[in-house]
Amino acid sequence: MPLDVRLPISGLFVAVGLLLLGYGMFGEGLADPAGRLNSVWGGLMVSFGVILGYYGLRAERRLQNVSARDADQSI
Amino acid sequence: MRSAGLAGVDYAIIAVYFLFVLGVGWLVRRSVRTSKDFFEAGRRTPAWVAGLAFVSANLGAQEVIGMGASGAKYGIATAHFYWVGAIPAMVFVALFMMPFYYGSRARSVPEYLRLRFDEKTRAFNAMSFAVMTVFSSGVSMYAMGKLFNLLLGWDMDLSMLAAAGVVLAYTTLGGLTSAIYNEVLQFCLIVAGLLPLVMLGLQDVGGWDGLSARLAQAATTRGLPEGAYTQAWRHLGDASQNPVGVEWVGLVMGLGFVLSFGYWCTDFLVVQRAMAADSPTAARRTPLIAAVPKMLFPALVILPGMIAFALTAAGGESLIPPKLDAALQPIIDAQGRPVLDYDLATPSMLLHYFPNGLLGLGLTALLASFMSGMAGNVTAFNTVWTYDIYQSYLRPRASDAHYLWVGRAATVGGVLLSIAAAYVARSFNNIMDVLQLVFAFVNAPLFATFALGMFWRRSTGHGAFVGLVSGTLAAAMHHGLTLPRGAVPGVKGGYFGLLHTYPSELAQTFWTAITAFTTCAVVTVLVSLVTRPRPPEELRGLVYSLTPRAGGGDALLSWYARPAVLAVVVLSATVLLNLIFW
Repeated sequence: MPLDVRLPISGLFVAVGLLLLGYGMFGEGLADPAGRLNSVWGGLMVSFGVILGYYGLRAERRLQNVSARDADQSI
Repeated sequence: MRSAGLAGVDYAIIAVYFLFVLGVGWLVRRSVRTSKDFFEAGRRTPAWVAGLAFVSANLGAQEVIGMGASGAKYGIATAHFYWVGAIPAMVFVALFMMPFYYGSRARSVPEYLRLRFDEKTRAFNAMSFAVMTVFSSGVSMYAMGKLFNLLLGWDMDLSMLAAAGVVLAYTTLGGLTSAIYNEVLQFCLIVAGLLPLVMLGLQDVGGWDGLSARLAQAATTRGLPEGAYTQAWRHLGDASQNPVGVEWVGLVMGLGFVLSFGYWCTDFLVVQRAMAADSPTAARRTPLIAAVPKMLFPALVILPGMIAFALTAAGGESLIPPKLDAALQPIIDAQGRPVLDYDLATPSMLLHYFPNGLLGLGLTALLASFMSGMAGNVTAFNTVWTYDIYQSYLRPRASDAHYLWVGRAATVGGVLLSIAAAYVARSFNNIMDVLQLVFAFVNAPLFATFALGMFWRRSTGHGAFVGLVSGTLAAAMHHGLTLPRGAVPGVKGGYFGLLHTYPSELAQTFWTAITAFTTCAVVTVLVSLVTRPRPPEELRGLVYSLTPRAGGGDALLSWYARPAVLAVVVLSATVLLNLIFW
C-alpha cells in the first residue's frame, strides 16, 4: 500500500482534536461545561492521533529499511 | 426539534475532514498504474485495513440513521440485525466462501458466477447488482441531503452535490485503494463522533438501569411486557409480545439465515474489500476482523435511538419529533399518541447533547457514514461495469490502460447515475421501503445460488439461472399477495391481492426473503438434475468438494492469527452478548 493508513487517520485526529481543544479552552473556556466537554474530547482525540501516528511512522520506517536493504543486496 | 446553529469551529471540522479525504485520494493516485491497482487495490491490503473497510463500506446512511430509528422503535431487539443478522454470516463467508472468491482469481462476484456456471447467470447478477448498487447510492445521497436540509437548513441540492463531488474526486483518483483508506478513516471518525453521544445520553438517563426503567414504563403503557425494549430474545415466542412484531422462527430463518447470508456472502460491495486483501489468509481473516467492531456497533448506533425514545416516552423533552401530515400537523395514532418520526432520533440526540465543536464532529461523523457507503457502492459499480459488462460484452480485447480509463469513466458515470437516482427518490414517500424490498428480491435468492454452486458440484448453469429468476419472481409474488398490518396495497405489497396479513413490515420482509431463497434453491436443484453438469476438472477451485482445503498454511501462523481461532472467539463473544441481553 502506498502509505500506512494510520498516518492520515493520525493527522485527521490531531487536527480535529486541536480544533476542539482550542475552542474548548479559549473559545468557551473551561468554566463552561461545553468548554470542558470539547477540551476533554479534543485532548483524547489528539492523544489517539499521536499514538496512531507513532505506530504508523514506525511501520513506514521499517518498510523503508527493508526496501533499502533489498536494494543493497540486489546491487 | 431545534435547528442547529453551527459555529465557525463546526464548519472548520467539516472542512478539515473534506481536505483529508481529498488529500488521501491525491496521495494514493500515484500508486494506481493498472486496472488491478484501480479495481482490486493491487491485492495488497493488510487484513486489518481490509477488515475495517469491510465494516465501514457497509456502514452507510441506512445504518447510522436507520438503526437509530429502529432502536427507538424496537429497542434492543434491533441488535438482532448484528448478532443474528450479520456475525454468523460474516464468519461463514470468511471460513467457507473467501477461499473460493479469492482462490478462483475472480475479480468480482458476478465473475465467480461465470467461472462456476455460465455467462447468462453472470449477466443476470451483474445487471441486477449494478442497478441495485446505483439505486442504493442514490437513496443514501437523498437521505443525507434531506437530513442536512432539515438539521442545518442547507440547500438539499448543494449538500448532495458537494458530498457526491468529494466522493467522485477521491474514488476517480485512487480507485479502490482510495476508497478503502477513506473507509478506515471514516470508520474511526464515526466512532469518535458517536461515542461521546452514547456516553452523554447514558449519563443523562441514569445508565443502563435507568434506561431500562424508563423503557419498562413505556412498554407497559403500550401493552407490551416490561422488558420488551431491553430484552432481545425473551419475548420472541409470540409476535404480539414484542415491538418488532416477529417470532423467533421468522427472525432466525428470515433475518439470521436468508437475508443475512444473502447480503454478507454475495454482495460485492463488502466482498470486494476482502478480495483486495494481500493473501488468501488475509482474505479469510478480513470478515472476522470486521466482525469484532460489528458486534459492538449496537452500542454506538442503537443506544442513541433507545435513549431518545426513553426520554420522549417519559413525557419530558421530546427528542423525537412527530411525523407531520401535508398540513404540517402531527399525525395521531389510534391510541391518541403522535406518530414519531424515528428517523430523526439520532440527529435529534446530536443537537440535544452536543455543544458547538462536538456538534461539528458529530455531523462530520454522519457525513462520513454517508460518504463511505456511497464510495463503497460506486467502487463496486465501476468494477462490475468494467469487468462484467463492458469487458465481457462490449469490448473484450482492449488494453489494460483502456480498462483503467473505462473504470475512471464508470466512476463518473456511477456517481451521475446515483445523483439521478437521488432525484428520483425525492418523488417517492417510501423510498427506503423500496430499497429494502430490492435487497430481499435480489440478495435472498442469490444466496441459494451461491450456496448450491459452492457446495454441490451437480448444480448447473441452467439450474442457477432459472433458479435465480424464479426466486426473484417468487419474492415479487409473495410480496404482492401479502401486506403488513395497517398498510394499504402499493409499495408495501398486496398489489396482486391479499392472502395473508403479517403483524409487521419486518415479518413480511423476512418471509419474502425465505420464500425467495427456498424457491430458488428448489428450482435450481430440480433443473440441475435434468441438465448436464460441468466435468469435475473444470470445477476445481470453484466447488468445496473438488478443492484442496484452505488453511494448510495456518499452522505457521501464531494461534491468535489463525482464522479458525478468530472465528471461535467471534462466535463465542456474540453468544455471550445474546445471553447478556437475553
